[in-house]
Amino acid sequence: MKQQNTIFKLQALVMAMSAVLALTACGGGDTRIVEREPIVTDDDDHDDHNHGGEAGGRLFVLNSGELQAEVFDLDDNDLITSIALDAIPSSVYASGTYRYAALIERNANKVSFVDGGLWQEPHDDHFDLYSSMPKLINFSLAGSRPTHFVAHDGEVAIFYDGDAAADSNASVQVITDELIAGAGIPAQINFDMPMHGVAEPRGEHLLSTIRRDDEDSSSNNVILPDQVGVYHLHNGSYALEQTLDLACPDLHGAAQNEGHVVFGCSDGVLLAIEGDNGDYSAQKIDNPDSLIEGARIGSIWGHEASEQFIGLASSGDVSQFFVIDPVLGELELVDWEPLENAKPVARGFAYEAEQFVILDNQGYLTQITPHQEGDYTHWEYSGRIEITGADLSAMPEGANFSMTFSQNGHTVYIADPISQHIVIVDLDTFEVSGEIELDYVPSMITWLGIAEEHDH
Amino acid sequence: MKYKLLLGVLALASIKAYAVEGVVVNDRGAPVAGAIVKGLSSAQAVVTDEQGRFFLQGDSNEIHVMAAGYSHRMLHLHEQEDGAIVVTLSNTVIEQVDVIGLPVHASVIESSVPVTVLSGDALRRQQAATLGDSLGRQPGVNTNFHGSVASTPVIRGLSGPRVLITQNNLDVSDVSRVGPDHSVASEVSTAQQLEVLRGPATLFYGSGAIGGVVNVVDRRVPISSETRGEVLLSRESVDKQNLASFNASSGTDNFAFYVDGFSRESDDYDVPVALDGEKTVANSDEESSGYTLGSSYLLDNGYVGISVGRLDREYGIPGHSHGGHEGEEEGVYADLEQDRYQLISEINLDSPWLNAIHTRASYTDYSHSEIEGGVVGTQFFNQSSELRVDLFHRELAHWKGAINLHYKNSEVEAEGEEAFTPPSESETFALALMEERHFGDVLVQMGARIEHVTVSADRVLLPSIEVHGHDAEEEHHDHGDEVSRVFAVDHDFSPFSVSLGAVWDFMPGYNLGISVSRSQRAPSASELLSFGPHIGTGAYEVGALFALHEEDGELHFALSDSDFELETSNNIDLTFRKHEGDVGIILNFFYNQIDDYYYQGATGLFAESGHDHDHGGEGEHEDELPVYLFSHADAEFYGFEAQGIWKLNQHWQTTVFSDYVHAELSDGTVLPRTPPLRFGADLEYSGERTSATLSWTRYAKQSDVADLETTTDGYDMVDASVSYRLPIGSKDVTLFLKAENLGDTEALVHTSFIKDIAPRPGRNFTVGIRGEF
Repeated sequence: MKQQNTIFKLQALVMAMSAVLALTACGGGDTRIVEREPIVTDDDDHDDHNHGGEAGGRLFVLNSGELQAEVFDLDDNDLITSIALDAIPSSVYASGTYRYAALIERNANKVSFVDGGLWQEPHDDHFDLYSSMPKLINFSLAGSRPTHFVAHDGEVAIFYDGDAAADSNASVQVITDELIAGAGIPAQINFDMPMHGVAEPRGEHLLSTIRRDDEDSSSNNVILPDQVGVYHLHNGSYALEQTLDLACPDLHGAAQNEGHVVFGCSDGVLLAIEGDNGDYSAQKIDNPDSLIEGARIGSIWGHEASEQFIGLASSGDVSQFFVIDPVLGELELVDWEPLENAKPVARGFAYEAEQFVILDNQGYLTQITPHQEGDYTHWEYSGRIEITGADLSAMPEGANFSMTFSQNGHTVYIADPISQHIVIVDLDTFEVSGEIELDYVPSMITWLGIAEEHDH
Repeated sequence: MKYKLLLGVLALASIKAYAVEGVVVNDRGAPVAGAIVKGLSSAQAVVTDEQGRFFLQGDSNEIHVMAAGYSHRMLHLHEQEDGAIVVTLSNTVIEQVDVIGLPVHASVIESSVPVTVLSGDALRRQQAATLGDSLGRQPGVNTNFHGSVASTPVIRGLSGPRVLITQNNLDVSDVSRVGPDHSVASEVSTAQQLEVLRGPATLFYGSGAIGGVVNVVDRRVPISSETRGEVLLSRESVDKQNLASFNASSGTDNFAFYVDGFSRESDDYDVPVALDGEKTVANSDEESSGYTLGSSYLLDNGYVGISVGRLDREYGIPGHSHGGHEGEEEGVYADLEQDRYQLISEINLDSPWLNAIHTRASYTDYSHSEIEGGVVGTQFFNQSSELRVDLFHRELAHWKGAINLHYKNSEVEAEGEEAFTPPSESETFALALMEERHFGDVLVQMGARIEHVTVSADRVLLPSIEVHGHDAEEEHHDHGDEVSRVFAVDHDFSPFSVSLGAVWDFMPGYNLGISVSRSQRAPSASELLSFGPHIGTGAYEVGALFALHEEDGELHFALSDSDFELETSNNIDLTFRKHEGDVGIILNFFYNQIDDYYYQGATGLFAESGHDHDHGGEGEHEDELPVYLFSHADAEFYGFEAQGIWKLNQHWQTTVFSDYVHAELSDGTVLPRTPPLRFGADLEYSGERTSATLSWTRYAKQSDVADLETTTDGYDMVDASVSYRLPIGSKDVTLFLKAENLGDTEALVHTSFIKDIAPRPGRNFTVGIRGEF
């Protein structure tokens, strides 16, 4: 029995070994590969992540004719993508930190946003840079007749005029890019009547126009407000803290810099001066004698790097620019040497307020620059270039030149609807330095990307 | 009679049904107290008394006898007559410890494959924060030193997916095989011994072990209820490291319990020569802790036990930092967590077929996050389960051995910006047979293993990256829609390994071993499926699934047309051992010819890392990485390890050693990070209470370098240690002082991926206290 057992065990062992050896034939491999639906990178889940601000930015170009927008990469001026839009906006602005293009659909009572796809996020002591494919995002804002869109230091105050016909009142919403990205709910001020107003966001404060009852108002056109209120943000909502004691009849146009907020009035400009305690005092600069008959300062531009503001007054074919010096309390006419029939269509301080450039409807870009004389800074005409050689009579109906400033270089981009291209102007040399060809009539453009930090 | 000759045993032995008794003496006839006598199962072990007597319960065909300072003895009890066994041990200078990692009982001198075991005082003396550094001075083993935080062992020039790291014979289940900056999820300070199997060990462990195995053994599943423990406290100067660790076990008649824990904290370590103006290696600090609990049920015929272990480790990754503003460095660190569950059982059977069943099973949940400035950049996950069952059959025609059934499943996933490998699942089934038999003075060991390995990945991405050479004018980036092709990939491999070895005891105290093996390995998921930037290696890694294609003069990656071959190693090992007397010698020569060796070849191309590590730098390609493509070619490895030990007298002993490996592809290209020639010597003193060592290691200059690799200068390392055993009762309390790199030598490690930014630490003093009870 024991013998048998041993033999049986031996057989089992041999069988086990031969079973293993029989498997030697399997010493190979086999691979099956099945291709699946490819992923077209919509970089939301695959964000390029970078450090530093080497990206050249992007250009949002509105093609009103085809209800779409195009976004170009300004590193190489190549088209990144086309985006179908729901409606033609009445105006387009860049958001507080230039990530989004805000599409003001005034008549639709809506503000939509296109994510330009370049942004940065704080990361300890630096910022990480992200890029993704531009797209129309789901987030939008609703309000009656959104009109003025004022950005300052990353914040944007959108002023909704309201609509008497629809029995809706004016309101203000304050947004940031983080709020847009997070689809948050903006802090809001609701007024009890409609007005064509404006609001200037200043961190915890917000200066907004206030319309009084018609019998109290000093405005000739009562839809225009005549007072300025200082609002303070508490727990996500604004409370009126102070109403400036000087009236500003027919208030239109506003701008701010570090210490001042300026409003345009029919009788001059109203200065709101920030005191040490966050309270504001009011001061008025009356219209100067040099202002032509029937005009008033109705648009104002400011820049953090400039103590002075520049305001525009127009009447008929005449457009006058004034330097507003809030420290000296003076308004000084700037001779921008306009060509005949030239009406400004776009203008603004360029990069670090070293220049102020004016694009006119004749297709010229005029540069005025500051000059120090003693304690006073004068602004003078310093050059002009033609940005189109096209016949102006060929301007498509309803179209006009438009302009946007790069926020990370001395460059402006000008859309030329006649020649259907974007002209790139280098402000350092004040020369046309390039173009982006289009095959449609561009209606509005705006620069998007990551603004370079300035030393204030 | 042949066994008496073979083993040098003077024995009259009996095969008693349920007990074995005998006496252990030395070769002068004096009894050896404290010798350990084991049966087939490690649970079946007793210690000899003052008269050298032992009484071993249970049935056993063989016994193993070991005692400090004596050569290990194995006795076959066949055909023995009744009576007490007398086991004579010869003194030896070679430390001989049972190798747990081999399925059959063996010590370092009895195996046909070269094995090294580091245990006891030597382990405590050489233990470091990382596994590679702990083993870095063992013959044939180098560390790929990664700034003290994440080294892994390099065995005979092989590492990564070719060297398997196991914890109690079960896969350590981390992601250390994928990147040199990934730490091994195992702790040395609480381990009992480290075992290194040099050369192919696929027979025992499968695909991942073609270059060797490092097995970290601890007693987390206790095999006896003996009350014992160990406590260690130490402080190091070079990195201000504080270490506290302990392990202890105890129990009742039926239950044994085990607990261990450790905590270690260190700062950035100092180096002798300033790097970037700093005499420290930035971001090389570490903080880790862990604990293990285990319990076993002790049976008459074995035990079954389980353990739960937790490991937490946070460590800086040197060389993986983001420059912050104004040149400040922002370190990237890794946060590793691992929960490990093990079940280990050894049961002796009284069946007509089987002697014993050994079962080992584990489930491991591993994750590590690479954190950049508080934000998680990349996360790695590995969930794996494993089962090994060894069925020891009864001796058949004097063949003894076991059938091994092995199952392993591992789901690996990486998420984030450096997730260069897609999620994949690897599954292995294996059947192996290992047998050995004595023919006179010759022990023949043979085995075969068949495996079935599947590597499946549901979503392998092939992004449309731009690659370009650096001399070409830089093209404009195309920002049109970027399309990533997606593949579902299933690889099936059936590696087969076979090994034949013999150990010839040609005269008492000497033996000669030869081992011939043919081993196959299935390429790993990362070697096949990778596609993306790997900052740990500073490369854009592309797996062998892909190949470069040229179309209209432009290069792009597409699926490879070639087959995915198994890597096949044909290895010959020759071993000479002199293991008795006052002089011990171990010599190993190996020749390893590997067909279809998978390696990363430089393509000469560059791709965007997608991860700019430089702020405002003017470097032309600052955010780009060189593209390395995995491909396979035949390779050749040969070399030797030599060790000589001479006991000068009762107190003094000296050791010399050397090792060397040459590694090249068949086209003559040298493989990168090959360890240089190394030799060294130790002088050891052991007195009644005081012991001391002085050791010197010379690393020769490595000038056999791969393309794009630089040569590394040679250097000398001199270390010393002194320990003093305090006269405190029966407790063993030792104070120790250790000095490393006494010469404060700048030492660049050729096997390191970051040799230029992380040299070895400068002069280091460690002071500590260790207690055993």
